[in-house]
Amino acid sequence: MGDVKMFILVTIVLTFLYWTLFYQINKQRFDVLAYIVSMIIFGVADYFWGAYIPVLFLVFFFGYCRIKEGKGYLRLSYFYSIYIVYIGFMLSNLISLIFYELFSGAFIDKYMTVLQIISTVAPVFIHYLVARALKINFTLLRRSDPFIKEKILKPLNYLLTFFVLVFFSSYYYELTLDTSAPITEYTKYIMFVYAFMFGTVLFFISNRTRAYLQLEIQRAERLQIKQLNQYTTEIEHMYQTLRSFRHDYQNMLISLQDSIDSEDLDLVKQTYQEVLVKAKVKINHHAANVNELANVQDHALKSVLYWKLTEARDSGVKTDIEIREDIPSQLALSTLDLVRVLSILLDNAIEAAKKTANPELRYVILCDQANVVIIVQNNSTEEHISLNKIFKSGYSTKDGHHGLGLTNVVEITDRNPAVNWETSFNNHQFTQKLVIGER
Amino acid sequence: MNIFVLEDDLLQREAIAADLQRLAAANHIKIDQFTATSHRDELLAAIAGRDPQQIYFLDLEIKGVRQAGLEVAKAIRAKDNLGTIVFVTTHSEMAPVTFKYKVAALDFVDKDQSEEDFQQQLLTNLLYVRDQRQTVAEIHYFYFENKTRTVRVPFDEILYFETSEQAHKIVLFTTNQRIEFYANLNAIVRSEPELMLIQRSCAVNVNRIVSYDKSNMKLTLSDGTEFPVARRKIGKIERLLKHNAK
Repeated sequence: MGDVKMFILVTIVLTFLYWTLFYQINKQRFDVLAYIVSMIIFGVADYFWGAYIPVLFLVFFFGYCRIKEGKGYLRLSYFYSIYIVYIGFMLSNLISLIFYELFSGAFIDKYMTVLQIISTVAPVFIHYLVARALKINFTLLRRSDPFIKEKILKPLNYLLTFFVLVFFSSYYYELTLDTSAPITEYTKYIMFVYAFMFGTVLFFISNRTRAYLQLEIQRAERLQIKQLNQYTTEIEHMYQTLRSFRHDYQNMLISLQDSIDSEDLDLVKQTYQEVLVKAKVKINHHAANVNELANVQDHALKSVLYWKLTEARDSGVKTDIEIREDIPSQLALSTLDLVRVLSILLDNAIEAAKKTANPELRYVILCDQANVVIIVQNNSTEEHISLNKIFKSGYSTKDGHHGLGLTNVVEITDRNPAVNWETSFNNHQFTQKLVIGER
Repeated sequence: MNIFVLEDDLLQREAIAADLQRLAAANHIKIDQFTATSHRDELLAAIAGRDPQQIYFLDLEIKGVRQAGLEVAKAIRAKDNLGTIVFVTTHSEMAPVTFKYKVAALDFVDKDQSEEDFQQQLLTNLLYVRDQRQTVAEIHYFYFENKTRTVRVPFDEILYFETSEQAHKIVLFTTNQRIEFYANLNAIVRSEPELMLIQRSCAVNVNRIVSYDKSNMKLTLSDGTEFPVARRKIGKIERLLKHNAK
């Protein structure tokens, strides 16, 4: 009876270990159902094929991730499953080896249960502490960036597969030896190798994710400089147009003067109309409202707004910008996140608007008390848009592309509780609204 | 109907006042109170209270102060959140979305457009207010407020609430909106008797249920979304649907 209780306890603790590790790197909502199911599977499996349970864990978590993450996350799923199995199993093994090193056989026999549980739970804390000390941000790995996929996950998966093979072969080799008394020298050697492998993997992740962040910053900076150059050119161009307009205007006023002097009222009327009409055409034509961007303090934000404005204009989308107040550069959302979110929303809006006969895009930034409100609006050919569908990963409507990248926006707003997000569709107008709170 | 006009240019004020009175008379709109002034305080003093039958025509630029009209609109909103605000302005000053967001302005009448279009736009706004029934108070709103956020949606438009991947975050789907906010789903369900939890992570507006498939334990909402129903909620749903059928 005691054995059964013991067995159940170990299964619960073991399952807990893997799920906690899973949570530490995945940061997703805790799935009670999957937890219970896995516990039953592992319990049964443990009972029949005790020693091969790590392989089963691997298969289970891989399957689970495949279902949860959906298409396009093969590498990530593989990484999650192999990583937790490897880290969990290897660390508990390492800890039991340390126990064998430290304590006598009699002591270990006496406190077997406690030691077993400690060796199962301790990896969670060790992993947590080491990951923290190295400042590893596992959620970065979820991003669908080629650098992450090719330069981080791919080599990491190879590395992990290699380590797991090494580890399993030595582990199963040990099992076949069937020696209850460990050989001290050999164990010491193995311990060193395990610790080394653990360190390598974590160091690799920490190093590479940092390199990725550096790269992100560089990319953003390069883009920003490019945008700012274009912006400056455009402002200069506007200034030139304004000058030539002023010149025209002066000429027209002179001719107006002439017609007044001639005291011919019809001529006066005609000239006046000409001046007025021409002026209006010019002003409205150039109300491409680049000047509104002057109210944006943040250069990165300014450049992305300008870039999207140009893109919209080039593809024939009539664009209205409303930025009437000074927009502070210090927001609760980091510039990088803000730029990502806005590029996605604006891209979607431009794509969807392009499908209509008279494409229209409007973006508005305003301050409301301590909040900054960003509104992106476009017209759409759709009669009805099922909002819950377009937010499903990978979905995009046939005609517009509102679903594109929205999962990234969800990810960013999830990380930033100070951001409130609303989407609405009314009378062929699709509106995205972000309310960004105080920092 | 009560009509208020704020315009600092005497000629323009007289012209728009005459236009409005003529348009009202021609369309059998009864004017109870008509206030045309160049002083914000005079205008604000004339407001008796909140009323959907009140319309304000405001010049945006007053006495050389750009966007002074916006401040006046805010002051009006503090006294009357049901009335209709219309800005009368020149094109270059217009910022439709900003003003709609800040003071729920209904419309913008461009001073530079042709006289005919100008009159037509004034009339459209008058007719809009005339057709506003005093139903605003009768609509049942779903209202939620926390430190950073207020959510206010007509309850009838609500389809369902679901929890997001992010802990404590709720996503609300209405017939035409998706809104994220931080809240507790159970607390929301407790506050609204017409919401029902059908799974741990999802609560639906019971008035929006169009069908229930008993054998597959699936529920369909008016927009076609299908939800699996948790086993222990089945009894409750069947009782409710039976009750509604009667």
